[in-house]
Amino acid sequence: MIKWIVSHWKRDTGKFALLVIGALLISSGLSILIGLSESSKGTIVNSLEKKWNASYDIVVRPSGTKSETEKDGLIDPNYLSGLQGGISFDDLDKIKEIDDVEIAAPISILGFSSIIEIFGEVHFPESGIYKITTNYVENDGVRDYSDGYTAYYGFDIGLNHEDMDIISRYGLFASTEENLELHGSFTFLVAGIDPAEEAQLVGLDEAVDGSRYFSDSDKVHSINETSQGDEELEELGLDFNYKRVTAPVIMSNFSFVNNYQEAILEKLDLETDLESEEDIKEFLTELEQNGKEDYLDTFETEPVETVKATSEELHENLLEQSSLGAYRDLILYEKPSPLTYKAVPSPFPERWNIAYEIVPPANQTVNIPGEKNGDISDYTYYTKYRELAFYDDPSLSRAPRLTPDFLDYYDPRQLSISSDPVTELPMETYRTPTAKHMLDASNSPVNPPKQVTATSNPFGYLMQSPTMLTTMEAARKIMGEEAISAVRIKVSGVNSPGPESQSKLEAVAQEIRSETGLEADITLGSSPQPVLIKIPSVDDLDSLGWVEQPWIKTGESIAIYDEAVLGYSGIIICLMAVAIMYVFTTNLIAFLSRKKEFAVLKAVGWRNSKLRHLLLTESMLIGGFVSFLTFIVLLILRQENPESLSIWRICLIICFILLIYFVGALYPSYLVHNISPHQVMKQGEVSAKGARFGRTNGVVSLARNNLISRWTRNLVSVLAISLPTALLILFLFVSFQLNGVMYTSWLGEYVALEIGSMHYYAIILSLIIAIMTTAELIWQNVLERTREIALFKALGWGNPRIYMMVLLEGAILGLISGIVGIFLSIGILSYLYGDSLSFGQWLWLVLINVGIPVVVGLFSAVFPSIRAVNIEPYRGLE
Amino acid sequence: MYKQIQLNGITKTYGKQNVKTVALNDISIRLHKNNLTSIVGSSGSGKSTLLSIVGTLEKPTKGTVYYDEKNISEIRANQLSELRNIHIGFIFQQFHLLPALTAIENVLAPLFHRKTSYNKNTKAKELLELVGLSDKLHALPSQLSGGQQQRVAIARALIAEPDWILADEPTGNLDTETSEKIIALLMEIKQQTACGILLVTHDIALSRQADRIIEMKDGQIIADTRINNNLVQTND
Ligand SMILES: Nc1ncnc2c1ncn2[C@@H]1O[C@H](COP(=O)(O)OP(=O)(O)OP(=O)(O)O)[C@@H](O)[C@H]1O
Ligand SMILES: [Mg+2]
Repeated sequence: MIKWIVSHWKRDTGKFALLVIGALLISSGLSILIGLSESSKGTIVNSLEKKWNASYDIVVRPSGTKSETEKDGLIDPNYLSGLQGGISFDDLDKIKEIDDVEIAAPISILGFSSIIEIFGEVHFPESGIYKITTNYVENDGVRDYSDGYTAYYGFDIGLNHEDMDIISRYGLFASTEENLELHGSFTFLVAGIDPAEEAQLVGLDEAVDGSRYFSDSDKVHSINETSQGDEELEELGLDFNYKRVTAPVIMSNFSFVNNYQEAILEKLDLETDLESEEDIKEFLTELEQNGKEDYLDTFETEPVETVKATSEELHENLLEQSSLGAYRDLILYEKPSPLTYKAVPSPFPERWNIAYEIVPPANQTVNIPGEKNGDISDYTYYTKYRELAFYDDPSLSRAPRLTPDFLDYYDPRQLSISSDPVTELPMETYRTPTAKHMLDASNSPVNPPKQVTATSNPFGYLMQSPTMLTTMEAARKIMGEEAISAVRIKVSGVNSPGPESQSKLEAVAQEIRSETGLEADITLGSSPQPVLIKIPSVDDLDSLGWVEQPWIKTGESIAIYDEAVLGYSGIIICLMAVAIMYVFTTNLIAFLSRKKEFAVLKAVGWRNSKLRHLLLTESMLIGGFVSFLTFIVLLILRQENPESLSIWRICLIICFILLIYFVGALYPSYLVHNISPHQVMKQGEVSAKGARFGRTNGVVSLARNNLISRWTRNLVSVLAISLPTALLILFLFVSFQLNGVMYTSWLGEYVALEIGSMHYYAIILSLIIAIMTTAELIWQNVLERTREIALFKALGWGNPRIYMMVLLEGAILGLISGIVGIFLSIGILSYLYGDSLSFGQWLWLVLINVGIPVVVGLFSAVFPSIRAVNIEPYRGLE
Repeated sequence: MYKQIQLNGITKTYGKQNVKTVALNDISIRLHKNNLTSIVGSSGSGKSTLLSIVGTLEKPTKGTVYYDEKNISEIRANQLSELRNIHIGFIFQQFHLLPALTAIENVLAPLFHRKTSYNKNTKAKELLELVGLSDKLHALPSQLSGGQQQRVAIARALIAEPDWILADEPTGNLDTETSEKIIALLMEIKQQTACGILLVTHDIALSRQADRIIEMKDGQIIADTRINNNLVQTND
């Protein structure tokens, strides 16, 4: 039988060549895909290891500061944000004396200070009543937190701006000057460090802008300022008692927070133009009687101008003013305050086995006893994820003052810590900790995950890194003996994680614990563990959903977590489906084109089983050839990367290939039954039963009817084109709209759909196979219509019309595939991505989705159309 | 070895109720192996259909076919193939050679995977020699003329040493001279192998060479003439 089949192929070399090309495409596609997918995994691991590299080996914290989470062996990388001193200078000295402690760098988180800055000015164009809306908007990468207020100004209406009563009487400020300066506040973190140790640990001295780093000649002094005992002040009703510390500072020239300050100036549309004094008087009376601001709120306004300043501009301004010595009186106000976590069930335990929820303290309001000055009464705008902590109650009368002696700027990006600017490493003191917004409040994946950054809110869920650094001496003056929040330790002779360094570090940590009674944790070589943290609803803000942060898993060496990757299996499935369709089609076509032959064989007494056998053997021969090729290619690939490609896996692929060739031959061998040997008695061709829809009156309707009358087989090519097209759309969407990775939940698991160039190779391959599939089908259609076409030619149809007819057939097939593809890809997208597609994105999808398959269809029709044109007219007359 | 094929009340219709074509209408006939029977009739009269039913290529809508005493309708499809393969040789108007096979391979096609008491290859060569194509053993059908192709088809019909040869207008696509040669060949074969021949033809002259002429019209037999004993029977 094999001889029979081979002789068949030998005599129809064109068809055989086509078979070989298809076989090669399928085998190379599968083997390259399988080979490539393995090697691409290594890169993720390397980059993560590089990033996970702390600048210190051990961290020492005050005793009793271990949070709930550390029972699981997990340290919040943002641990400094909750540490308000607790380690004494004695302890620090003890630590320094321990052998092998090379660097012991203390840090004291002093707290937050705010300054009032001028961020811009507005101009009143003419006399009238104006409304100024000032907004302070902060963004943490997910949403805006805004705080604002409205004020009314009367410009040039004869009011005395020095008369303070105006505000309480009319609800507006008076201005006689055309320009009005706008003030905004800027909150930043102040920390104390040991200049010498810090220079050793992270090279802080190298990161300063000019040449002026801390030096021994810098003086720190403090005085107590108090009203107590001063009768004159007490008589005035003043009551203050604070420490003023004058100390050298350096300031970060980089702002990690993202906010802006904005003011909108609008003119009120009054009925009167306030020209005459009577008008003004009348209006003011009206104002006084009708409810001041509330009355002013009822007027229509006309925009005049908008002024905006970003956090970079504000920061720059701060630095400029600081270097000029403009700030003499920085009030240290908010203290660092810890977050409280509680363990909660993870929404996707496969991906994150540990999840916490932040527990915000209940009902926190700021009491401002006897406070008259309205400036600071807005403290309730804080999003209070932490317990409120202040140096003093909001009257500020006892909060310490810092008079900065500005030395220089430093650039936190030039410190000798992990050089990756978007480092995942959260433990560094000089980088604002980040997290990734992974799931929204309803637990659906966020696409793409957003980088979450700290805001300037002292009680937010992420604390900003220090902007102002001063010395430990200053910290001691401000906070006293136990001013140190943490000590970061580098042990001599320890460079990389490993069993030796581990035991050495363990010994040092143990000594610190026993000498000082403090907590000491080894950070070097600890494993990062992605932890999912729920940011709960707080005050009137909704829950943010879940963020992911790499936490420190103590006592465990580097272990990289796997992320289930969906994209790879997606393309393999697509390619396999297209391969199956191709094999199915070639088998079907082979069968259809030899239908008459089979009828003859049946007539001369061949059994059905023999014909079935013939078809199966033929298909398995090709399948065997394809699997052989694939096997060779995979073996070669395996040579380069032996451990990744198991023999078992190769065998699985080979089995799959044989299976599809087997399955592909099943349908045609089933059809063998339906061949009637009687057909050989007929004079004409074996003609398809025509289903006709509508009248045939032109090339278009002819092509359409040709397609409809053979709709079952055309369905195959529609599927073959539309499946890769749909995936292509999906891939393009993910690549361009989501930066290549779509996070999604799939069968209850959290997975990433990662798109790389490999995916596009696979799609192109699939489309080529689709072209071949379609080309074979149209070829067969043309073949079956040889007489018809010959007749058209005999009737005087020109070649262009014949071309048109066949090409149109391809184009229509493509168009239908495109429409099917649209539904497919939109279905997949909305299943994986939810329903958050915009109209523009839809349009974009639809356009490509129609374009590509039409081109594919046209391509497929090229060879069949040439064949159709070459049909001799006399064939119709035979 | 079937000596006689008998049709009893054979009716064959095509299509469904509203577009029904009656190809054969209640035909009863007995065919003998020692006859060369020719069937004539106008186009569409049901000749090919009759041949298909006799040759078991098709099942009748009504009626029974007997090969000697064997009722064909009781035989399963696989056994029918077997029966065709061993006892019937077909020759078609359009030759129906397998285009990818050479002349000798075409001749051997019916015996593919079948054991025979004789040497298949020698037999095939002998047959091709008989039909005058000993020099074209390895030619593909496309390299042969129409007459030559038909002769290959005849050789193919004979390879399994059938009891019957059923030929549907074997000369329909050939010129008169070649047609005569083909008929002469068939006569010769009949002489040599003693098989029954059923020949459908349009050509009255050719049909005259038969032992028996069956004339058909509208699916019915209108005349059944035995030539050698000059006895005319008419079936109504
Ligand atoms: N498969 C079929 N489906 C429907 N009708 C058929 C089929 N085969 C034959 N017929 C009809 O049966 C009738 C007899 O056809 P048949 O082929 O037996 O005629 P014929 O005598 O061989 O004609 P010709 O000399 O043209 O070959 C015709 O009317 C034909 O239309
Ligand atoms: Mg006929």
